[in-house]
Amino acid sequence: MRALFFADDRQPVSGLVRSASFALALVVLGGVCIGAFSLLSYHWAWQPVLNYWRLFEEGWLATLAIAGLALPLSCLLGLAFALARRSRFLPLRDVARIYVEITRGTPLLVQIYFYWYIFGQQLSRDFRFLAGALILALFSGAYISEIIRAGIEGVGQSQLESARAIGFTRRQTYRYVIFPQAIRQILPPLAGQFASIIKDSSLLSVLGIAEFSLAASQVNAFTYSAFESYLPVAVGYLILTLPISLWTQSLEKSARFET
Amino acid sequence: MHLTLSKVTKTFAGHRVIDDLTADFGELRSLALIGPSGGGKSTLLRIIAGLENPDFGTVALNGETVCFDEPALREHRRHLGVVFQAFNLFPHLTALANITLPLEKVHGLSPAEAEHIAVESLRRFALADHAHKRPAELSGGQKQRVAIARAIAIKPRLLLFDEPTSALDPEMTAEVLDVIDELKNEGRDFLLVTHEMGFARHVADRVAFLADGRIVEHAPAAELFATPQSAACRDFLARILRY
Repeated sequence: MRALFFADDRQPVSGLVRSASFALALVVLGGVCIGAFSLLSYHWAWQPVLNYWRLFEEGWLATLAIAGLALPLSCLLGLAFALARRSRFLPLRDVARIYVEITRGTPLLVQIYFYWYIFGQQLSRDFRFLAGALILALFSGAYISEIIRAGIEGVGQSQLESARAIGFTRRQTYRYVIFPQAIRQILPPLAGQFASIIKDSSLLSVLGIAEFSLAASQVNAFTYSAFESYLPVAVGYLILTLPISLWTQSLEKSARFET
Repeated sequence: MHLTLSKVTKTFAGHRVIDDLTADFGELRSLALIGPSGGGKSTLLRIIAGLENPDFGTVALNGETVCFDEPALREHRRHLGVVFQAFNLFPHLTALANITLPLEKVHGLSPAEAEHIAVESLRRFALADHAHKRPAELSGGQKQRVAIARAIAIKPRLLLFDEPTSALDPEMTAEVLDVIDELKNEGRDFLLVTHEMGFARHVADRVAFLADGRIVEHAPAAELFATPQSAACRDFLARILRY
């Protein structure tokens, strides 16, 4: 019995035991949820919500599009600021530092309003979507720049020396020595950041951008249903973030083994 | 080679690691730097290699004064082969790619030419079977031999060895010393910082004794070990050869 549910660090856990414990965990958590709902004596009514299915679908696709736009943009910004912080031109370093500290030190919601009141109001409705993705990229870029910087600085001094001894220029050193080694350290936290971008995009609903969570609050307003509106949203976000999370874990594993 | 140093000074955090060092070693093939730890041997090698800028002074190699500004230094480094104590191979590249990378990207060879040279030099050092392994899969001695192969593949005008065997066990040390000995017999010019006194005596034309940032004395290898002139060198050799 003990062997079924307790991990022994000296030997690997078999697939069967792992599935059994996973099933048990699901049953326990499911039981807690069902218990909680029965206490609420909540009356499920899915039909009215299902009528607004298209709204969910469009919202989900909008979130996917915003994230798809913000992801590469935030990577570019992150790379640019990470390199700026390592620039030999000191004022550039400080610009990057100030940007990173301010962005990481303030809530995204506040930043959304700030950017919006400064730049966004002049934009026509069609550009809101683009502006939202850009705001998200600016926010996430600060975090990604720190991830990239940590990866770059993790490459040992002896490697830089070796590159210099060979006669590499600074650019060649980055291209052939630093980036190929740093990428292994960068990828796992970067993938985690991707999941954050997807979730954080829900805050863009405050600008009236018709993304996934705005769709849910609209449906909620039309149908007066609570869980039926928000449960699909939770599932919809999980569909996007869960694969990334699993991917992150496999990346972390391979990064550990290869060094 | 002909190496001349004039008034070379290098300070780290207020400590004079190389102190107004002037020397002309004359025309020679191989020079060994010996001396106590912290005496400035490695720093001097790094200055000659163009990896460290002196505060003052000039270094001249074969009559050419080394200019310590970055583009000129890069050009200087391109014609030298440096072998480090910790091997400093690129861990993300195979042994072969470690050698071809500088050939292609710094010396402008085609991938085919670079590969040909790399395969040849790996074969020379009995590393042909390991060409496609990454450094983590090689032993210390193998890594250092790959590093030497990388250094000579570019046909350097001077090889610089910075304590190449200090991180190795005795058997691997022998492996690496064999390779250096072979390079000597081939007539390659090199500068060697080492703690292996027997090897320094065997392989170097001339040996220089460094202590407290100065060259206390330098002489043909056999002479320096047989009749050291300075008290410092005598003490050092007595201490190190006692066991």
